[in-house]
Amino acid sequence: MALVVAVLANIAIAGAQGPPGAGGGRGGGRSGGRFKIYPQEAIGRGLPAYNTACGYCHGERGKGGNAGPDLIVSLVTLHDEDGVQLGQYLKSPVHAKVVKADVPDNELFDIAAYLHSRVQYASGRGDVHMDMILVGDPKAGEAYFSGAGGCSKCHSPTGDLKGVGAKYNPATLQERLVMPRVGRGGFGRGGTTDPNAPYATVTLPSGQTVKGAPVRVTDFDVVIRLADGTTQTWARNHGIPKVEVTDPLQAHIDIMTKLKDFDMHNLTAYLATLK
Amino acid sequence: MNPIQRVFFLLVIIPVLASGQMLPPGDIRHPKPDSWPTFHGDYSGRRYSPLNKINSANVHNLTLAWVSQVSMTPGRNVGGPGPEPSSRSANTRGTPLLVNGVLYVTEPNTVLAIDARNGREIWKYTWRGVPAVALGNRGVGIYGNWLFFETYDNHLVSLDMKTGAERWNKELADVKRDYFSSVSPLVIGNHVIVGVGGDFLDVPNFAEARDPETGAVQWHFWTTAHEGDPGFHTWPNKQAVEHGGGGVWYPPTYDPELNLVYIPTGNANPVMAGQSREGDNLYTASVVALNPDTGKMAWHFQFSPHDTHDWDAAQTPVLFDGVINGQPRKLLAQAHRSGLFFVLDRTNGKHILTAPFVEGLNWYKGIAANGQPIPDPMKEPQIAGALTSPNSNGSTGWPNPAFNPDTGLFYVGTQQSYTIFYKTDLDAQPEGYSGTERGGGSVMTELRAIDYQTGKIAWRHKTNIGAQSLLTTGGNLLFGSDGSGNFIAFDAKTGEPLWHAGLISNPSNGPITYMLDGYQYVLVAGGEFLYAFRLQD
Repeated sequence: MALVVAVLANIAIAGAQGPPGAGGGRGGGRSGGRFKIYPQEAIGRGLPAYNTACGYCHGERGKGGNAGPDLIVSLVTLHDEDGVQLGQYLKSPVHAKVVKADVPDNELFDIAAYLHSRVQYASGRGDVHMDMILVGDPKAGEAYFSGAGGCSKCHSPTGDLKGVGAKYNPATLQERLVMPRVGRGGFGRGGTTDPNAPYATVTLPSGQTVKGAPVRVTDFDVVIRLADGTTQTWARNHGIPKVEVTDPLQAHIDIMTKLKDFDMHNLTAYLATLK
Repeated sequence: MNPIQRVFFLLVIIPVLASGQMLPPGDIRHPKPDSWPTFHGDYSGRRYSPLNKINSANVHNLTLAWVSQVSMTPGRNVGGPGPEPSSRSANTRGTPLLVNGVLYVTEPNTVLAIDARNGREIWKYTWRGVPAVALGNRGVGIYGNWLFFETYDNHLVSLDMKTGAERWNKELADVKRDYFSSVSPLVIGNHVIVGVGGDFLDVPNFAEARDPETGAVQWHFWTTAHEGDPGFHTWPNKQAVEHGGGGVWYPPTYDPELNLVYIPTGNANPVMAGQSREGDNLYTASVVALNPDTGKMAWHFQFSPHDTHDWDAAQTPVLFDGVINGQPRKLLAQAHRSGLFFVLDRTNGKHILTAPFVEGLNWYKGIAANGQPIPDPMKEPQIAGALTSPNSNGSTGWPNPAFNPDTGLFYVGTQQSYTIFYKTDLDAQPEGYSGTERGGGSVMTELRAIDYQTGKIAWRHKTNIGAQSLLTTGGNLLFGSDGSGNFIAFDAKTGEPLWHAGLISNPSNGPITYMLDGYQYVLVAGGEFLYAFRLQD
């Protein structure tokens, strides 16, 4: 369901505002203010308190254990606020007949804070395991770099890529070797300072050509940003004036469409050695 | 409904209901030219109108009749348990319905009645909700004199069409479990078909039929196959089923002759880590054909088995009658988010055609004899990353495609994209999203016309947007956009742009068309504005 959420996650629904700072999840920005945010201090205290009072039955991080259910998706947790409902449940006959849990009230708040932080974490996307990205063979990556990949036609390990392995974390390195620019990019304000930004060549009916950064190219108009920062607009009709957009990163686009995972992992491992 | 009840409903109930009603039930099955009574205009999901007063020969004379800003200031009619809502800008993603010269427009917490002749607001209903996932709303359903609306925080609200006064509201699902609602209810006979979504906290999703009079549940269908269901064996255990996703967040289509409602379902959960749900995970990422009277499943077809890329099947199951190998067939077609175009026999769900509608797809190893793709497990999200096409946004999305019976073409907004999928939750029992994607990008965005008989691309037109909502008409027209704010009429046969209007923002919903006072109108939303066009006198 990513498309919809990506588009709509930032819409503030009337009446749906949560507490300041609410939302976020695991870096996906998906929460829309629906989770209460607890103080980090309380969450920090809640972890050992949880492990002592609950962990034996409900498992590590509240995900369920041999004797107790998953608390992250538990209705008791989800309907709890500040440990109040949690405390009521612990004292209820339903829980008491299984195990008597004497949790001091001050710890209940902290345990609740910890469990709610786990709920919020589960609703997000999680973090890439940076220490598990480098699974490729650096030597094979080097061979691909200089051979089949054609990377050495534009790049040099002692030139533009010198030190790149220290500059980026492994996931960013991998991401950038596939496509240094996210999306097609370049449309908007860019182009005048970034040598890798796309540029447009507009050929007028007279044969005159004008080059600049493509701000907007449609069937009906073309807008480019000129080297002096100003913009120029032409109406278009049936493809006139002709517009050709050139992307200096076209080689990366071409590679992206055919790159195999093992080559990608090998390349990442090789580039990571360029400290 | 058994046969006797059906006859009673047709011969007795409908005539009684129809007397003085704003929308007699028969007018949903056979929409009048001056109405747009369901999400897709009719039950088929084709987004095709036979109207041809505006056509490829005169569309260049299309001009603005009125423009209206959708106001989110709370209205006179309010409901719901939440605090007093604050004002915000509208962003209309739903399809307005039109009955008796009044448009019914929705936002996630608002329903507005707007005069279709001048764009002026008649009444407004505001739902005071609680914090929940903030998705768009697809629109209302209409039964007689009543509207039905799913609030974003999972209440089904029924309103009086004339005044906007609330008749009742019923909770559909527990918002604390992170369910959300966005579907426009579909009225079939005396059933209001609704559904809920949610894939953030691993909930099982469902479709339901509700009684239009009382809101009571008539039947309930789990979209993850529970114990005793035919698809239960495609899950490893009950625990996985009960947290398996399969959101119903996009409206279904319906064949009155077969009496089957076709419900498209969302992806499986946990979303990107499949280690706790080995198997195909029916009926996620599928279309399920149900009897709307009983909720009993006639057949199912899964487009993306064991999905781990967030590729819902929440795209329109488009129904049309066509010819395959010289034989007339009742067909169902879907351009699925994974980049594959499927044509099925809608009487039984049997596969007819599976073909890619974009280039570069690398996530499947081949097509099985039953027409299903065979996923490549190495293209599931990996700890070290898997470079995959398409990305989670998919090759298309929920914005509706269109099918024109005059051209035989299926129109869809497309994109060729790449991303690196990572698995982030390595636990034996992962939870929630459990994965992410980084990098890559889009290398192509085009509006494409597909020949349903062959799956081949008949024409393509470059745009600056992938998925987009479309409308096609008997005037040989296809209305869509370029992703840069232009609302465009294309020649339906060739894809040539014939007319355009630059809007303040890009079209944000599915356009509709209708007749009023002898004029054919075309209506589209762009963000917080509605634009109505008609031919110049």
